[in-house]
Amino acid sequence: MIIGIDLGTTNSAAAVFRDGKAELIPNSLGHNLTPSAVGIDDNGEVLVGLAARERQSTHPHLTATAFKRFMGAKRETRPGKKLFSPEELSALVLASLKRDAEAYLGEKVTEAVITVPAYFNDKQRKATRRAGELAGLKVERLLNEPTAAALAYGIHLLDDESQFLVFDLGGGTFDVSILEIFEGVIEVRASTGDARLGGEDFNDLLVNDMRRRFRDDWKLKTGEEDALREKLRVAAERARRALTGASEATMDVVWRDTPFSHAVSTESFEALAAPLIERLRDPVLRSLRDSQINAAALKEIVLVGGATRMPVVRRAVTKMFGRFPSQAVHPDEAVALGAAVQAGLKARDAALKEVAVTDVCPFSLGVATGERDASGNIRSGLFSPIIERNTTVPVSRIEVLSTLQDGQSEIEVEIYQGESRFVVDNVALGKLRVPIPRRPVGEIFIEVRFTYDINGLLEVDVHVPATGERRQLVVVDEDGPSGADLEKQRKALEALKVHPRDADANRAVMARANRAFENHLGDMRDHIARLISDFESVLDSQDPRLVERARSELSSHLDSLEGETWL
Amino acid sequence: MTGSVWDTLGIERTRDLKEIKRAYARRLKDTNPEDDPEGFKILRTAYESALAGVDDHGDAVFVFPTVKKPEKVQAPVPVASEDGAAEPPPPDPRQIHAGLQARLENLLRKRQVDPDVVLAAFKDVLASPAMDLVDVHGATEEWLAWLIANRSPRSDVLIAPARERFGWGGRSLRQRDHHPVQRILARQRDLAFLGEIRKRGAEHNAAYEVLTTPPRPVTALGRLLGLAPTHEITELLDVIRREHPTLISDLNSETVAHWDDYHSRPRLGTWGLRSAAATPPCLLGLVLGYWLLPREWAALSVLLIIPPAFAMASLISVYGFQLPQRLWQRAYVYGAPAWQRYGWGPSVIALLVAGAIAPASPLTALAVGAGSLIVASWASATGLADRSEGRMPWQIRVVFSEMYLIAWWLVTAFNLTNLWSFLQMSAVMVAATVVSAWGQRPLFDQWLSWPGWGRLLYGACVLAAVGGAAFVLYGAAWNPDTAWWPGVVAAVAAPVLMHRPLTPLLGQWSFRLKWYSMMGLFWVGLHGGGSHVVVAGAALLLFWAAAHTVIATLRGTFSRG
Ligand SMILES: Nc1ncnc2c1ncn2[C@@H]1O[C@H](COP(=O)(O)OP(=O)(O)OP(=O)(O)O)[C@@H](O)[C@H]1O
Ligand SMILES: [Mg+2]
Repeated sequence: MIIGIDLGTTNSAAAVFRDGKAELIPNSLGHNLTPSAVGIDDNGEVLVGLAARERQSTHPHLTATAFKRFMGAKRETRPGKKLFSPEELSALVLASLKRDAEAYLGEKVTEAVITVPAYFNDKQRKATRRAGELAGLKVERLLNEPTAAALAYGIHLLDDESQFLVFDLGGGTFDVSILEIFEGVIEVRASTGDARLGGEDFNDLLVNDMRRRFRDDWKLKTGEEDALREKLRVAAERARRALTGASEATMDVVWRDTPFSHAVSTESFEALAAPLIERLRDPVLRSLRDSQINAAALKEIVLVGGATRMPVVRRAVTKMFGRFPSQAVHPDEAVALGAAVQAGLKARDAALKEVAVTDVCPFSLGVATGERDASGNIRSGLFSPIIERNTTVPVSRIEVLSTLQDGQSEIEVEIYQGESRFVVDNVALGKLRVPIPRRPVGEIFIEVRFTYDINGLLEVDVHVPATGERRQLVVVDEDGPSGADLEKQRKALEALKVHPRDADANRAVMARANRAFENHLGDMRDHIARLISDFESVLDSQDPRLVERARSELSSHLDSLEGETWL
Repeated sequence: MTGSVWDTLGIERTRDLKEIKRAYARRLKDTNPEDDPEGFKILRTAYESALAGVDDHGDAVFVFPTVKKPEKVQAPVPVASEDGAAEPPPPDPRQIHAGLQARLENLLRKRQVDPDVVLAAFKDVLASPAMDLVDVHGATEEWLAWLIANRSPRSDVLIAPARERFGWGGRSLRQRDHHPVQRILARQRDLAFLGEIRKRGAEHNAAYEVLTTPPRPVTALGRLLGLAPTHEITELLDVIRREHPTLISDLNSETVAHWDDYHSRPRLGTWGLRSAAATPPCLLGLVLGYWLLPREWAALSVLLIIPPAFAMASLISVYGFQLPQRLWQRAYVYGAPAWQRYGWGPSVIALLVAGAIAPASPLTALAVGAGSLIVASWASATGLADRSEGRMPWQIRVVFSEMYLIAWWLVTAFNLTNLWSFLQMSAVMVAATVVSAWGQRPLFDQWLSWPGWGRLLYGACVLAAVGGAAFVLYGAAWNPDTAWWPGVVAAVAAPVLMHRPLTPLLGQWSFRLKWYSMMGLFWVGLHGGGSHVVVAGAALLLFWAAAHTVIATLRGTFSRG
């Protein structure tokens, strides 16, 4: 069985394609979204999802979130005693989704289509693929998130001929894609974005603002920075969501038993957010330019990603296009549903027989070159793209390079990915050396052939016509572990004690109650303490019916105290 | 499957976008990227080239906002007024924008225009509220790029602010392939160069002044006195054409045409003319010096041969090399038989062998000298174009740069006992000057790029020629006991001479040193003996030059890695 997975910065979701349509898979709590959070509880058990997220402000050192932002980077986090890499944390989330899917579908799930931000580079993609493998999933395909969203949206419009833009602002990444549908073909014309822009950055604005405002009152001791940050982040998230429906919200935190409160108005938030809003513009312009599609010709502007719920963002989009964006898709679910459609395509689902999808390579791939300036000096470190960004994949391109010096005895082909004219600013993917006969400058040339497949695998072929010499390089993961290591790592993850699925709901409510306890003072705090101990006594009874009732009671108490919980 | 575009798509040749798309979609269902990547690549290439033939891409062109000419354009009006109830409906921001664009365009169409006004109009366009709309923004950027690229020099003031606003030519690749922007960036680089040469007294400034004023004919006297910087003008035109093409429009087009015509025929340069004018008095001085000066000092008057030698070199260069080359190129270029094109190569070798084995005599000296000129002319006229245009092919330069050694050997063998040997000396000087006129290019890298045996062979040849010559010469004519001295000198001289092409690397020092040492050795030869001190001094100089050469070679080798 192949499922589609949206592995998000803040939330993840899984979906499956069956009976001719895509449907979401609920988790053990009955929610369609599973927070991308991993925690270690007091017994050393791993918690994934809502329970972990709720514990974040009370146990910042035992919880990891937003790790997708560090995907592909060598950065390890330490929830609890063990060190985890971003891909291991992602693997835990994926494994949890896998378990939920198996419970829901009643059969084994072994393959998945996982989505990645279009603007993820080669390293980040490889890390994501590894995460899937660590979770015991064969990653059939890495699908660009906006493409997935477009699939979810476009699958109903196949009879039409139209062009539309998908604007995906999620928790941590921003993607823009322009698509065209004709004759049953869904063609991505361009994808661009910013791999580090999303709801979390808006939170950071509020967090920093509040930290500054009470600069002298926090009385931070060393090592407490993270704890305060987490608390403020939760408050910021709450306030930001409140601002979606109201014109004013407050950020309330209790720090060292002192309450701090700060009111945020729509205007002040907008002023704070202006620099981030500004960053939304450039990718839009670039995708229009690359796709050679006039903004006026776009049929719809489709908003995807939770952060597009923010009125500031909507206003910015409206201003950019001079019209209102479409609300046709569910911003949180579209990506997972699209991934399921792709999974259906992979599985040759009969309902999708007449559909063909083409995607693009969203970044330029090329080699480092040098040139001689007017006075004959060599300027090296220039980037010459061979596969230009937004070329439809799979694709092969050949470029002819020649020597730059007399008597050169070899050429080194350095492979890079990126959009800067200088290789130092781009991502290095590998290098290849070929010997050449010594000749005067420019007399020897080599053919460099780049082949990029739909899974984002790059193959580089170098041919020296003068000698017939050929060299080949498959850009594989240089940093990643080898097959055996990967297997070992997978076993280690599997061996971790994971909190039993059926108790998830109780853990989540308890975590939430604990957080509420810390966030209130005086009578209110006593009240919450009483609620907690009541619930604990019911838990001890181990009667499922009683527990369930007590849990929903506790939830509604907490709801009335601090507003509904969110995903 | 390697059929034509249309075979691949499975349709007849067409320019109908719809049909192409439909065919592509149909083929895509069974040639999809998932299952048949290679087939898909072929299909996609076919599809894209079919699309390229469609003249109207429909959606795929960037439509410039059609700029209508409004009667009168006002400054940007705030889009919405606060109490809009009673007022007329707010003007459409797109329309205002188009108006502002039209104003800027009209301003730039004028012949004379105040840069500040242009700048203000430009700022108005950028500040108009419609710029918030991405389609207007995109179209305006394209339009501005086109406008700035096509309205220079009036639009030059806009380059910097437009670059800043749109990030043109930043570190990002986003503007590649975007022609107007590339032109604008080139223009900006060129303007920096223009700023440089506009400065009084700067390099190229004199030529620039001439080229921006109306043409004035050049007289022979004017050239003799150096009133028109003809050489600098050629150079500047060359530099501008090659590296700063956008600046051509900043020069006076008539003057440029005039100078192009002037330079279209090879002719003697200013210094060639001057040295030609100086030739008769110099020759007179030479002869008088020989008769009037004491025997020991007479040789000094030999230096007077330099201007006539230079004149001759110039004449030979123009009428012996450049003119034949032009004629040859005009007439044949590729059609000529092989012996004409490449025959000079074997001739060089034959000449060298003849020079080496023929008994030393004035006649041999003259014959070798004349022969070398003919072969040089032949080679430069017909030789393959090499990267230093208008020069002899590098192979021949390398060989000829050592020619004067052979001549030197022949001449010194005669020991300069009469006027006849003076003339021989002149021949040596002429040969040396001609060679030095062409030999000052970095040939070392070319020598390096030869195959290993070629390098070795060439090195060995030079070594043998110089060493053997010196040995024979001094061993026979001088004291047999000290015959090893010149051998040492020659051995040290050889690598220097061999690395002669390195001279530019050495800042001309080794070149000069070599000349001084050559003079020293001449002096020794002139006196048929002389003191060991002189020989030792010359050897020391040569040794020093050799050391420099070696160091520079090493440095060159290592910095290469
Ligand atoms: N009602 C709301 N008002 C404001 N922001 C919201 C709202 N709902 C969700 N968000 C924001 O949306 C973000 C999460 O969106 P989403 O679930 O689409 O992201 P993701 O898929 O996890 O991340 P990504 O796609 O970047 O990897 C969070 O930052 C959250 O704050
Ligand atoms: Mg997302």
